[in-house]
Amino acid sequence: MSGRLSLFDVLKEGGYEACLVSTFSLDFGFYEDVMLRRMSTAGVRHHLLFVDAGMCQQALANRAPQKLGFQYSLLPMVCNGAFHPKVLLLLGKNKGLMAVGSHNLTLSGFGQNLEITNVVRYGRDQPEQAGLFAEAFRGFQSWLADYGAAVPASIAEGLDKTLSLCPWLEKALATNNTAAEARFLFSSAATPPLWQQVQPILPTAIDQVVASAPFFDQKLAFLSVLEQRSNSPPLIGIQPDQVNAPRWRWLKTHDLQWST
Amino acid sequence: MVETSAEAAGSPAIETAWVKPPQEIGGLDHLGVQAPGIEIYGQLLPGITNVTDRARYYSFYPWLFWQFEQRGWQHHDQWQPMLRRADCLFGLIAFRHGVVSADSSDDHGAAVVGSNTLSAVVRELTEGTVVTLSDYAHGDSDRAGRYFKNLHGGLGQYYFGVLSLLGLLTGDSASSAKLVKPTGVALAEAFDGGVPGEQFMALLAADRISVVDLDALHGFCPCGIGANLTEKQVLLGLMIRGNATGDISGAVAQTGENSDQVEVRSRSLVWLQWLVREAVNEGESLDVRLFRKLAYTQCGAGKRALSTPADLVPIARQWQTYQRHECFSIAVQGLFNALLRCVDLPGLGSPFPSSAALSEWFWQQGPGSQVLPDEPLSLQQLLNQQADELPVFDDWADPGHEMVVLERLVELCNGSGDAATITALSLKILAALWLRPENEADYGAVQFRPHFLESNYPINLDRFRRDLAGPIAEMPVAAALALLTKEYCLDTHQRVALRKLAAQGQDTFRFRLTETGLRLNQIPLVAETSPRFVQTMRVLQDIGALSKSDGRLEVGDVDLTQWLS
Repeated sequence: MSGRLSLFDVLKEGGYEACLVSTFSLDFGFYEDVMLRRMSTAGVRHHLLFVDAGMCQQALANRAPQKLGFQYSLLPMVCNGAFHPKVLLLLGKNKGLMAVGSHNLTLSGFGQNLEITNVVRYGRDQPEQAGLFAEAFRGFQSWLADYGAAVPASIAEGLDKTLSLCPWLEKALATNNTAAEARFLFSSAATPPLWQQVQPILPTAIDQVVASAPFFDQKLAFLSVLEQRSNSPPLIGIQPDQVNAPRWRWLKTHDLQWST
Repeated sequence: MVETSAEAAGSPAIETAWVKPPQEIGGLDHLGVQAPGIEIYGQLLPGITNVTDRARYYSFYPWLFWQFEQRGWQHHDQWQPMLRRADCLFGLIAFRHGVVSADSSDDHGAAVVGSNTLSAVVRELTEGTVVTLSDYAHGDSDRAGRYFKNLHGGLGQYYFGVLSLLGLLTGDSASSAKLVKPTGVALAEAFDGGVPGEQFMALLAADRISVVDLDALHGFCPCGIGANLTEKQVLLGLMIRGNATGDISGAVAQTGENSDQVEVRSRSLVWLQWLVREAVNEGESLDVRLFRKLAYTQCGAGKRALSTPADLVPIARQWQTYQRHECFSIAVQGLFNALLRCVDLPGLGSPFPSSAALSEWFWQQGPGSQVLPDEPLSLQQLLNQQADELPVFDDWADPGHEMVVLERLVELCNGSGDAATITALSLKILAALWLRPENEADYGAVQFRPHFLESNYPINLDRFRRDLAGPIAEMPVAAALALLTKEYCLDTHQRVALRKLAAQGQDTFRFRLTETGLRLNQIPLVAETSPRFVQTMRVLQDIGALSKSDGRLEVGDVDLTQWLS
């Protein structure tokens, strides 16, 4: 893992024309005044924003959007649980950047919180990554198909129009390329649950599971699953004053091992 | 996203990292309420800025470029090192003259470029010492002794903008500066008539300066304008009439400067000189605090209305507007300060979930509630009550007058004041702005660029008056104030900080709206803007319009009114 990576700096790199973002929570002020402005300055003109429908309602109540409809399109995702993927895809004629992590489209998510990200780039010197971008794009297509019933067709069409701005991605989708060194896994109504997809590609023997999270289920059931797969006790990083979990169980697990 | 085993051995196609936060800085004007005030005084004093204190630089730099031209040093590489040496030598002369003169050193080395380094060099000088100029004039950050960071010295850092505005130099920046003919040349020639120019330039080339040299060059000292009548006349013409002819009846605005700018600057300067005279007549010395009171009330001590000459009344009114806005700015900053003092109050349990929650709590249960009357009143009724307590507008010495309250408020906000007192004082100022007929003009004759206030600085006097004239005035006072402070202070701060984040990539948030609620970052200082008062007084002293005796400002030998058309 490298040190720290500025998503703000990534936004203004230039050479991109489209941006697809998925997020659970959203801050219209941050998105419109900071992100959109930075990306527009760098030449990004086509913006699609996939957001959890419930959180979108909350965001609308906090601050009305001012540039929606003419500078970007909003696609509220209606699903039974939370729509939780945080993916940023910057796509250009000859290059692409994907950031997948814990970062919501909020000021907190882009730097004030402790957030993690994974950045992949496609370009002339990294053509092998096209398959990974194709997988991610399929994720967006799948979310739109499964959770975007309420999205007007004219807006939904914006997703396919993205491909006209980056022919390399269209080609990767057409050739059904898959990623060579990494996989982009996502869950949607039409896919098995994420954990089910991850399990087959995990090593059979795992020395230790190392993880960090702010939210845990109330019975710590998933932690138990990880415990079973880990030869030595899992190492779980938390922020003690931020974590949302049943406190008593922490006596049985390790204390904070990663710090901010 | 999952890395497969094959990836582990290869190059890092996936970069996994913590998300780096934007750089956090202290920042200024966290509500965007100071900017209109800065815009007003900027309009009223074009050609003088908060960093251009000395009039001598207005003639010294054009003279220097005139010298460069005569020597054929057209290319940047030729003149830039000499510019730094000259800037450095000018400073050494000024500090040396301050040491050997019996009068106030303020006239010599004050606000001279490179003072930290050069004043120390001069203090160490003894007879026989020789200074190598380039030991200080170099621009190498790794080498000790550098007198000033900017590659083009004080010209690049401070003066190029105003010299360009005044039509003396031209170019996109100091690096491409050229002398403007005939205005820049006229000033350069005037300057040259009073200084040993060839000796100065020869020493630049020689690079070695003795104490004797510095003493011989004392004519270059910033105090030297008075001894060079031609230069003084040209500078006066430039400042008051916008021409560099040195002719008191010369045409206005021949330097390329906008005639409106010349007009407004000249009126400001003449009015300031007139105010100094008024203060002296009252036994006072005009300082910035007294200036603010006189400007705001247009009254002297003892409630005496100032008998401002008719042709200076419009400019006096514009300065009144400036101070009116300052009152508003401080009051709003005061409320923001008080609110922030409550963000992380111990004993409140969980953080406030939103700016609305903090603002409502503040006025219903918090410090704001302590300053509101018990009886159920509307905002309008509360303000009407305050009207009875206001001292007369003219009486700026009364402890209840907004000008006195303002000073106390700044002190409390930046010290250990309590939120309730700060809130009460802020409300007093806002009530005075709303209730006094003298304040009804709001921004009066001051004109802003189209959409300047609406788009960039929405918290302003116009908005305040519009809001209070609307339905909010009839709302219960706590609810009305909760709404106002949420919008004016908390939400506006978030918008301002977001704008700065977008433009500069820097984090200036004083409180954060996190998933778990509001978190305090830092309470900012409450600050008045600096209306170029000190700089203008200094420039007026340099050109002989003012003088100082025993630390008190007096009118000098130049009567600026004679220069008005």
